[in-house]
Amino acid sequence: MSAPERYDVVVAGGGSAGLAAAVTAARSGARTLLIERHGMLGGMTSAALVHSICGLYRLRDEAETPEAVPVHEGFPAEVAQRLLASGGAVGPVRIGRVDLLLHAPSAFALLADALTAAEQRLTVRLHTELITAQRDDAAIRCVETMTHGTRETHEAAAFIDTTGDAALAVLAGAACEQAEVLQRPAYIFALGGVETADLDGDGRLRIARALVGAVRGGRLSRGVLGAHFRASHRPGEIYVTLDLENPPGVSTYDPLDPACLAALEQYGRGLAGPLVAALAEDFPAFRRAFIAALPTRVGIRESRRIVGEYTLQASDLLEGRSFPDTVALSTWPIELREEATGPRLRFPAGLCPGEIPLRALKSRDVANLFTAGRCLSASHEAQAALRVIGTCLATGEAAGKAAAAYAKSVGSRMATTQTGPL
Amino acid sequence: MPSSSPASPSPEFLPSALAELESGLSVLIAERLPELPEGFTPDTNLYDAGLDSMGIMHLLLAIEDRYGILIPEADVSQKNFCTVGNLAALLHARLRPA
Repeated sequence: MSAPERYDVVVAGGGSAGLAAAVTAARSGARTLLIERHGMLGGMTSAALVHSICGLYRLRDEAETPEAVPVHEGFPAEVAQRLLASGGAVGPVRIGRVDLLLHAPSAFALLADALTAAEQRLTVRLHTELITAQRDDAAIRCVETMTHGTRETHEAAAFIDTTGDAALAVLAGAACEQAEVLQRPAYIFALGGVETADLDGDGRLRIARALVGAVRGGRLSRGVLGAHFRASHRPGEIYVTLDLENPPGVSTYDPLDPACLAALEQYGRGLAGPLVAALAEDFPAFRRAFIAALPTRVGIRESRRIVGEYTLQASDLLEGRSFPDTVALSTWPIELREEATGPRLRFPAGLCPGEIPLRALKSRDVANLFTAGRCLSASHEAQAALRVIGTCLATGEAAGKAAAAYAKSVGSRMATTQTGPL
Repeated sequence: MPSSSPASPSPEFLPSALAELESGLSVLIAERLPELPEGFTPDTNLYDAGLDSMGIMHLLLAIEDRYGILIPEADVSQKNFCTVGNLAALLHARLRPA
């Protein structure tokens, strides 16, 4: 085993929040390491095939506000602008009182590579899992990682947990919590070869009718009734999102239970295959359809969360509570998906953005541990608004800045190369 | 698991009056659409309250089980599922003795 590598900031988890945190920390002058378990960055935004970015625009009533209004400056705006400029996204697209960007998961993975490659102070490890976190009293000293049997140790002044599952926090013995009833997971896959022009509103309903009939006839399992269809901006491509019930044999949904997680992945694939075969048989629009992409991983909306210096509550978001240390904004309704039969939405008063204080991004009991993304410090209900990708980009950026500043304040070895415009 | 075909309707579930159908459907729909405003009417737009194609699948199952009918593909349209009133009119026509 080689000698420990020393960084200012280590970011665990390369999803949207981790990407934002790592690039921002590096841009703030911190020598930064980003650790990701898959072979690509982006997490849910790429590997789970989530194909829309929510939480980038203000909530609005069309009559009062006819155009979408971006809410974040900085990193989220940069990501949106670059995705749009590259043709990797279209939008904003309006649905009810929200606007979202429809993006190609592959485009996000490519953009993440470009963003990280541009930062000289940033090192990226892919195919790399956290295995331990060592503490000195109240602070994390180092983490150990494993890359296909190769072990490495990384020391840092500050750590950011953007694993989505508070995996670093739990390894470091930091306080965490998990709701008894979680938001349901989603299994998302892409179809190619679809005559998307035939999928108008009534076309979708005919599919709904046929799927109910196929379930009644025993041709498809009831799990397909959690299916949503959305055409992408690319010819012949649609995404199917299956909100998953518990797989057979699984009584309690817990994505951190290894057996449950394996069952979920196999259950999702097991629904996808017969569903596509049935669609191809029943509908001319799907006759040439094929599964163009299965997700690298099932989409998880909620699991373990860090207990921070402050835990955001639903009422904070719904009533538009102000904080002295606000570092990011939330512009998504509380979107509860505890049942696989569709969401329950709660909108804030006046559709105002919710404020996210820095204290919700700092561990209550580990001094140099920050967090962002879906495992930030929030109640189950508040997390149902804060988990969306636009907000993950915003909280990631805020955590990246805060961790870099913390590292500087404790006198770690900061890069001395000049910062500023090239 | 849903039964392979809708159950035969029990007599008390054969309301002929439109108003009865509307109130029965309102209960079924309110259970599945938590976004429906309180005091919604047969004319409230269900799509505005969050009804989507997934919701329609679950609603179809529930309606067919409750009233013991199969709603044919031709009747599953955006217009028919837009309001409780439209759905009740559709069912009323289907349930009426020939």
